[in-house]
Formats: sequence, structure tokens, C-alpha cells
Amino acid sequence: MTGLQVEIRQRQPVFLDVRLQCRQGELLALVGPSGSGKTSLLRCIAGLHHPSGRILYDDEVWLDSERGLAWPPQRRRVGFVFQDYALFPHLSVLENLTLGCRLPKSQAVEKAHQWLERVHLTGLENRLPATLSGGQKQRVALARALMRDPAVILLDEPFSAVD
Amino acid sequence: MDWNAFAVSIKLAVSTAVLLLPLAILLARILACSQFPGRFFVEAVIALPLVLPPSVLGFYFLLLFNPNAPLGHWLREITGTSWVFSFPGLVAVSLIYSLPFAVQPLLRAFEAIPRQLREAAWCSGLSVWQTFWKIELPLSRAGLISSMVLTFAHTLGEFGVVLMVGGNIPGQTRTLSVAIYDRVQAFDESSAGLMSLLLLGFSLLVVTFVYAIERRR
Repeated sequence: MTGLQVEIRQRQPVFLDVRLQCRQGELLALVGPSGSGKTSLLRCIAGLHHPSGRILYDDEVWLDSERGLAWPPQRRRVGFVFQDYALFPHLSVLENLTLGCRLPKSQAVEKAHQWLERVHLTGLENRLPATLSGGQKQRVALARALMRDPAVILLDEPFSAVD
Repeated sequence: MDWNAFAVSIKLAVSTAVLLLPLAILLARILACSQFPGRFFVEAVIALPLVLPPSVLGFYFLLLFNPNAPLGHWLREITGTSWVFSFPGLVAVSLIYSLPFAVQPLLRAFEAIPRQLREAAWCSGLSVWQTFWKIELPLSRAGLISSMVLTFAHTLGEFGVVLMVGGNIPGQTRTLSVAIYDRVQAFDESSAGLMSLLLLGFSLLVVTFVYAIERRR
């Protein structure tokens, strides 16, 4: 099986008992009431929290609690759009996108411009996040997550503010 | 006006502020971002100079750092100088005495950074170290400035601990606040008044500056 495989469980701080598979190109939506653990599950996949169990992507083992293996978020090929966007407030839109990019600077800037164009934010490159509307912030966060060419993109309430 | 004392004060304040900054950043960052057993004890130790009489700190410093004590003897062997009644000793005791003034603004600044910003940086591919340099430190700029300015100003105004550990050696350990005390004892009110006015004006300027930064944060 290729794609993402998740088998995790924990009691604290949020009860989770999840088994799911998501093949390449597949879109999986998590639906549940507030407090049911949707965000916690995304955090586990991103490597921000380590529950018991296993998380695999293709032949990569991102988490295997029995073997004491847990890749950090930097190593997992994930893009994460946070519920409140978590844009870096002291950096421009362009810098938010290029900061973590490992490409040479000119290529990173070019790539960032391409993503900003695709999310219809061309012309806002030099604006600070505080000067953007909610929907614009969300699209910057989405473009930032896509800058890593992630294998898995995690969207936490991603389109709530998009018109 | 005792310009030698003024120079010693400035040298001491600059040395303390510069040397204390990395240590304060390290301590504040650890306290802001981690939970560990005994954390409250560490915080209490850092804040201790706020409530401890300077004479108590000075007494223990003299006890530990005098050349007859093992630590003082060892330090003299290594550095070639005594750590009591000398400028290095003054710097060392100032580092301890000004520690809470350096750590607390930085601790508040680090604690004010939302956890999700760090996590977003990690998910963008930044290492913990890169996240610290590119996200946390720039966002703590106001805390950094407050920390340095308060440390500088507090060191400039030290009296009791300076007198106990450094004594009153002109050009070496006599600071402006000790010189004021010295001039008052000699009934030289005009010199004491001039130096007091200088410290008063400077202290007011510093506190105004820190409040202005806090307001802009």
C-alpha cells in the first residue's frame, strides 16, 4: 500500500484511537464535533505530538512507538495549514513563504511568486500578515505549506475564512 | 564630579549587560519553553537578588571568592588576580545581582510567542536552532532591549554589593554611587549633588525608554 497509513492511540491529553489510510491523490476529510481530536490527529501526523502506534508514508516510517522511532516535523514531508494560520508576524508575505525553503534564494523567490499567483495574492508580497484579511492570511498559509512540495498536506479548518 | 568613578561605572554596566545577555537568553528560553521538575526553584533562585539584601549577597561572595577559600584560590590561580576588591569580582557579583533584571523581560517576551509559530516554523522545514534565530529572537526584540537597558541601569545604580565586594579603590572599584556616598561623608555636597543629578536623569531616561518600548510591543 502506498500513501499515508496511520494507526495510533492515546488516552491523554485527548483520547485518540485512529486507523486510517490515505492513498496518493486522495482527499480525506475528518468530520467530528469540537474536542473530538481532529486537530490532535493532524498534529500527530505532522510530528508535533507523539502518540503510541505507527505512521507510515510509502516506505518511510515516520512514527513507530514500539521501536522508539519518531521523525521530527522537519523530516516528515508534510505541509500544515494551522487553524489560526500561524503566519510569522514580523515577516512579509514573501518571506513567510521563502523562510524554510532550501532552494537557492532566487529560485525560492520565483517559486513563492508562482504559489502566490496560484492563490491569487500577487501584489501582496511585501505586506505584513497583520495588514491582510482573514481569507488572505489563509491563502498565504496554504501557499507556505505548499512551498515544501509536501507529500501530505494537512489542513486544519482551512477554508473557513475563504469567500 | 569624579570622572574616574563615572568611567568605572560605565565599564561595569557595559560589561555586565554584555556578558549577562547570552546567559539570560538561555535561561529565559529554557524556562519559557520547557517544563521540568524544580522549575519553580530555578525561577526562585533567579529572582532571589530582587529580595535579598545586597549585604547578604556581598557577604557570601566574599566568603566564596576570597583567595583563602578554595574557589577564590582556584580562580586566582587561573586568572592571576584576586576576585575580591577587584574589577573582575565586581563584574561577577553584578552578573548575579542583575540576573532577574536581565531574565524577566526576556522570559515574558519568549512566553508571549504563540507555540504555533514555533510549530509552523518546524513544519516549514526550519530546525529548532533556525527557528530560534529567525522567529523567536526577532519577535523578542523588545524584551531583548528591555533586558539590556534594565541590566545596564541597575548595575549603574548598585551600591551595597559594590561597596562590600569591590571596596572603594579609586579608578578600579569606586563607582559613581560609591563616589556619591564618599562625597556625602566628606560634606562635599556640590559634587555629590552633581553626580546624583546625573544618575537621577539617566535613570529616568532609561525607565521612560523601557516603558515606551513595552507600550510599542
